[in-house]
Amino acid sequence: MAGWQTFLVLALVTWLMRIAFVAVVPPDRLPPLALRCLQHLTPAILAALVVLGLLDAVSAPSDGAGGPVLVAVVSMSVLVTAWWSRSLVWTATLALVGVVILDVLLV
Amino acid sequence: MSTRTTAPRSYDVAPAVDSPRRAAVGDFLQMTPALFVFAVTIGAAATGAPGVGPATTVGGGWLVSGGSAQVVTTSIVQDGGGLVLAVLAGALANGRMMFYGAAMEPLFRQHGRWFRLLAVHWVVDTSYVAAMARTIHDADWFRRYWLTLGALLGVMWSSGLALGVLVAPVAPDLRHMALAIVGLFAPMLATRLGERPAMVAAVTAGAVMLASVGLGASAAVGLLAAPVAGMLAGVAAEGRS
Repeated sequence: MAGWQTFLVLALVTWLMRIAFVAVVPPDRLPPLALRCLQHLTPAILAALVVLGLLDAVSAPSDGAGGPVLVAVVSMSVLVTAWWSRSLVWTATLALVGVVILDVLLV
Repeated sequence: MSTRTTAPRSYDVAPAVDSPRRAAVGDFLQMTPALFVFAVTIGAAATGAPGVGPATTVGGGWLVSGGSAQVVTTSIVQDGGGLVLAVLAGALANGRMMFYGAAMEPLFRQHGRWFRLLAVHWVVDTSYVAAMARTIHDADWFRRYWLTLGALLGVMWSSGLALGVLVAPVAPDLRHMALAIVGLFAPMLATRLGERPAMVAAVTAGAVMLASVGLGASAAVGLLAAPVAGMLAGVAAEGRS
């Protein structure tokens, strides 16, 4: 029951955050600087998520063959593929294959 | 300059040449492999945690619609951390949804109250990035696109969580699952680094994220501080480019 209550309250809080600038305080009322900032949100948040993902992957225990070196190789391969191909399908597929190699095949 | 013209995104005036549902399905299919495996992993990891049963994992996960928030909240409930702490941590992890809402407001503006109140539920990392990359032709096009994408993402996410619960006893421990998230977001980032301000925003946000984690701050704090720093740096770079 505690889990349900927690998730219900969290869902409500998250919904309030999502709706805050859509229906409660429209961005039109925000300072011009805030509106200019929002134009750069996409690259900023994506970079933060990518760096966090890399840090999580590198810091995860790697006791399989190759260990941290292999994690670094897979990470670099994913980044290079993303940069050169710009393809979500190819990059995500490569990343998933890397996860399988690291956590299933080499453990 | 009026505030309307400085709004981050609004409807384009180009004629609708592509079907909104087809566009939504296309975006959904590209994102699904990594997201689905991520959902399965979260579902499997949460199974057996004290205080978080299968129904809570699947239903709560759908209600919250945020993988990182679900992970951190489940972890705190599991450790007996209490409702207030768990909700605060989850809310912090989902704090960037406020930014997404603000950035997408021009797309929701022309819709009725009920649509706005309900449709914001599907504002998540992937749907935000996908919608902002699309040419939104008009209000009706966006409504159809958003409802299709949101419904597909919701069903996929819940299905992944449910499958994770089912296969938990035999599921491998995917400790490097974060790589799949990198594989999901890195190509999205690569396509948005054309202009110098965008590059500056990305580099700054990445550096702040790195520093936040290096200094011992939680990932949730970094996910708020990094985009703020990145956005400010992007604005500063506008004047120099």
